Amino acid sequence: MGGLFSRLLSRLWGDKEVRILILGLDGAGKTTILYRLQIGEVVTTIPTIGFNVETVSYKNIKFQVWDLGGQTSIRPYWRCYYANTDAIIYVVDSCDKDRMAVSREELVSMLEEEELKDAALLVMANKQDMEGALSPAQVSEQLGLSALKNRQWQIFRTSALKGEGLNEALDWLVNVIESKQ
Amino acid sequence: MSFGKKDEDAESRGVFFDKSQVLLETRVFNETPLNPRKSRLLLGKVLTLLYTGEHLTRAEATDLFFATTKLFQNKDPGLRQIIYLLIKELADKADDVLMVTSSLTKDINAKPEELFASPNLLSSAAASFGFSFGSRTTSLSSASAALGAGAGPGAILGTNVCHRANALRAICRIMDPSTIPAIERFLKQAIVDRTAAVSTAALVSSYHVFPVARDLVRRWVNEVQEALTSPKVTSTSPSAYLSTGYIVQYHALGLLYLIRQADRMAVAKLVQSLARTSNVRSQWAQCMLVRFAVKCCEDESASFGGKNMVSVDGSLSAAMYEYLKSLCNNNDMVMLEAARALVSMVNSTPASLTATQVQPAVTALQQLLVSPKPALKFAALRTLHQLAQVNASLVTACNLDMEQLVSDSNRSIATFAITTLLKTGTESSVDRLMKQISSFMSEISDEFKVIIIDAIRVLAVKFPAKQAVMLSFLASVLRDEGGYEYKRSVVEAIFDLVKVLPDCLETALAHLCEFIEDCEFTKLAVRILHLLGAEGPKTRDPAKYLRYIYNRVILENSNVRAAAVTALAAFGAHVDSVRPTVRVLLTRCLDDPDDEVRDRATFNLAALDQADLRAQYLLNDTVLAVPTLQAKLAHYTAAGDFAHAVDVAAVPRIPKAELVPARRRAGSPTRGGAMNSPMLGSPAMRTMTPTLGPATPTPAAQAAAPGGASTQWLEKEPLLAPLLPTLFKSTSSVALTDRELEYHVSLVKHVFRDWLVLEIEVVNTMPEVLLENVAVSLVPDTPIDTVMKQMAVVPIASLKAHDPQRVFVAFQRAPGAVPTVSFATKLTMTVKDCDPVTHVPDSDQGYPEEFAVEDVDVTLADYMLPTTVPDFSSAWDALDEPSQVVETLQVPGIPTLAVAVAQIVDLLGMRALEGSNMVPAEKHAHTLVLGGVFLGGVPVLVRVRMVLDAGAQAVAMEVAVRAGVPEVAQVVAQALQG
Repeated sequence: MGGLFSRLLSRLWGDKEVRILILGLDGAGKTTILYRLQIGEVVTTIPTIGFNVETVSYKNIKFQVWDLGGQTSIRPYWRCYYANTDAIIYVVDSCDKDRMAVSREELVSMLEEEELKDAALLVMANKQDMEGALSPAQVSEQLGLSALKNRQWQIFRTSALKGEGLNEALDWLVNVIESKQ
Repeated sequence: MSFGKKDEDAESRGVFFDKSQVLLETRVFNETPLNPRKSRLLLGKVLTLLYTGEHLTRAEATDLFFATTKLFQNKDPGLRQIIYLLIKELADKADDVLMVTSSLTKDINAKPEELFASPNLLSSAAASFGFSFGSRTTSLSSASAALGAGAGPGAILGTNVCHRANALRAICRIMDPSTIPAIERFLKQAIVDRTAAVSTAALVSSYHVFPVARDLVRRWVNEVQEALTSPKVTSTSPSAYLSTGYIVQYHALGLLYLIRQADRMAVAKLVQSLARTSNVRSQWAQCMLVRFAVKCCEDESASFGGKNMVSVDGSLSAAMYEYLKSLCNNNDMVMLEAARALVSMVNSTPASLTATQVQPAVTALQQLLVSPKPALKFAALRTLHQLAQVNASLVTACNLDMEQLVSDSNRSIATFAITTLLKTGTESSVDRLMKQISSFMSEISDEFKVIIIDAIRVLAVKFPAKQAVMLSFLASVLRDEGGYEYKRSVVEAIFDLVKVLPDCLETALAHLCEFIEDCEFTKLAVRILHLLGAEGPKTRDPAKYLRYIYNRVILENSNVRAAAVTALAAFGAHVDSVRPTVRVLLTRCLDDPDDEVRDRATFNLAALDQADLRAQYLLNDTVLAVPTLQAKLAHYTAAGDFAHAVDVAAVPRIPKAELVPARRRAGSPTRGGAMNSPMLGSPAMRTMTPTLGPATPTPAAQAAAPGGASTQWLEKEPLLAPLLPTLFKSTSSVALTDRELEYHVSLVKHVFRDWLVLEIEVVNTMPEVLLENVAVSLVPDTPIDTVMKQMAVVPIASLKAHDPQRVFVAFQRAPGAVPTVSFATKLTMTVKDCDPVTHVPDSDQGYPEEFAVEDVDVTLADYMLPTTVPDFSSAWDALDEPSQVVETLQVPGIPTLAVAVAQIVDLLGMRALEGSNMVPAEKHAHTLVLGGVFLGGVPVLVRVRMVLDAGAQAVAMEVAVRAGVPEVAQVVAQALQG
């Protein structure tokens, strides 16, 4: 009972941090999403060599968001940050049709990791403001999301540039996390 | 708190953390929420391990690194600070350290208003760290000092400044040449940052980056220049960190110098422009500028190749002098530095600064002598000491101040005061000083004793009248306790006294004899025995030394016994009256257990008995030039042709006295010189160390050059290496170009039995140019086809900047021909522009270029090696009268006989014998006698009688040449006629 009580307390004061990883291929818009979420602005970014980590408060929940670089050379290090992760935001460049297969491979191999077996998966079909962007359904198909089992997942259409779809996505995440607790 | 408890335990035992335990604990970095304090303490432990030399495997370090990266989630300033420290430590120990690039870049670019959560936390965290870890070991306190240094300004300037600076320092460690361009923008920005801490960090980091990314850093010159000239905002409380703004100047100046150091002109311009303005506010920057100024002057004097003495009239030196003089009443540190610079200018070129010109420096130093700070007093004294070694009279003005320092409680200061006074002192003050020293010797360490002994040695030579006092002092200190270096310096001082002041020989020998009776140092005993052997026979009563020497044979180890045997034999050889006694003593040595001792005894006994052997081996005071002999033997064994014996006749002989290294002569203050540590640590600076002896290489050194080190390049040349066994002589290297030109060319001539090889070294000083196919074209001034034929040229395929390479030109001479000729010489090559760093040419297209250098002369001297004969007149008589060639000449345009002598010696390449190269100034007639070995081992002797007609400035000479082969005498005589 005490445990429950303290969890309620911490929930009340919001000092529970939810650990989230933002992953995806290079140039998908991960860093832009991170700062859009944190400071609500679009910042100029350079390719992330390494990672960015920020604390984002949303609906009284503190998210500790890790944005890991998506370049081929950095992807192998993603796994160093898997431990204790509550949710993964997987960002896909909806216009980059050529690399959907690569993106799928990375996603699949990531989800096979033992450390991530309880993590929720939020896929953002990003760059919807661009012409010729694939719809969320198309992206979902290309990534083979429907084949996922034993995993809470959802896909959202987003545009980090315009700030569209991010709130909806986070709302879903909040729900999932609250229900987990 | 279990942590606190463990720390207390650790404190009582000294620092000991278990590596695996600590690494295991780093799991807390994965916890959410993270405990910054706990993590910081843990990182402190890790750093302790690293600083105390604990080794982490690559995998351990990488794991640790990745665990640490997770701490970036927390913004606690104290934690972030120690993360930077750890990243710097792990930069070369862990893999994939690039992973923190983004995080560090973000910290670097943090805007001033983005303050971290709670600045107070930083100081409290730092304090807690300091409390629990500080001052346990030196390395630990350095860790906390580093923390403290970061935390100090950080607390005042706002945490993020300190973070920006620390992140800059960390990021430069994890970068490699390929990734640095990515952060170039940030570094450039940071260099011109308003905040001193950030700008400084960027400048210092650029320093570290420079070796890996030279060209990149070179492009930042403008930013660095700006940092140098524009003052910085330092802090909100100006009083506390007043000088930190100027420290930027120091680092900027250092970096600017680093960037430009290869370009002498640019450095000179930089120094001159800064010296003119009063922009340089930082005292450290000013000190550095002074050092650069000295370096510039030195480079300038070096660029004259030692041909001209640099005087302060030179434009650059004059400007520098004015600058240095103006600094002589500045703040202590700058004043000292400027005075040292002036003194060093005096030291490097004795004649260049006059007494009045050095006066400002002396006055400045005098002020410092009465400073309350011991460090300043010491530095000033040391500089005065340096000056006193060159010109003691300049320092006498400070005598009064220095005498007061003799009783200074700091022994180092007192020692220097004494030694300097010994140099500047007058004959009358010597007694008083000696008394003071005696009372004081027992209180100081060996090193200082050595300095004092050196000073006394110089003094003894200066005031021969006081030698008795000196000698008894030396004898008394010889009896004191002391280490080898100290005893050696005393013994050498006595040796010098013996050499310079023959009057004290017997007393000195008596002291030395007493010393070896109870001497624990084999080396010293051997040297003293040698001296006894050499000097003892000249004394009035040589017999008395035999007992001392023979005692050694009975009591000492084999090295000393062997030396004693040789010394005994020397007595036997020189003094007829003791010969029977010596023979008896040597006979006893035949039973010695040691081979060497028995061999020496046997040899000497045999030599003693026969007058001719005695003359040849025991009384002969010349020896074969060892380096030449060594090279000759090496070539002989390498060639493997053992049908012929080694031709020893071709090896020149030199007097035994010249085997003694120049250092020991003239009582040069060796130790005092070593104490004057070079200002910049450059080799050029080191040559500044004053020597009282002649700086020019002695004839012995030149005689050693043939077959010396300079054949190493020949040996690598497959075409020429087979010739080596017939090598007769290699000349010393001669420059064919000025130091100012873009290519430096120098020449070594190798003379073989039938060949002549010119080794032409070319240095390309232009990094942006690649030379290919560098060859040499030689046009003789007279037809040489009949006597000499160019057989081969070995060109340089490709010549990068600052990489000396050699062209070889091989001539085959007709048998017996010794042509003298002058070649008009030029280099031919293909020039290609190239990348200054990789030396990859920009295109395959090059353009041909010719580069004329000074003429290459082949003279008679190239076929001659200087040598010595023990006794000229008997050697002269031994050579056949019929071989003699006599010429009479009238040489106009020679003002003195000394000039004539120098010219003849130079022209013939022979050695002046029996001191005949010294011409007394007032004499108008002189006889010069010369000895040499001509190509093929033919002995040559020359006697020149000359008379000076002072009015007509002409010299009349009668040259007589005798040689083992008549033709050679003919050739030598002709050479003088030309």
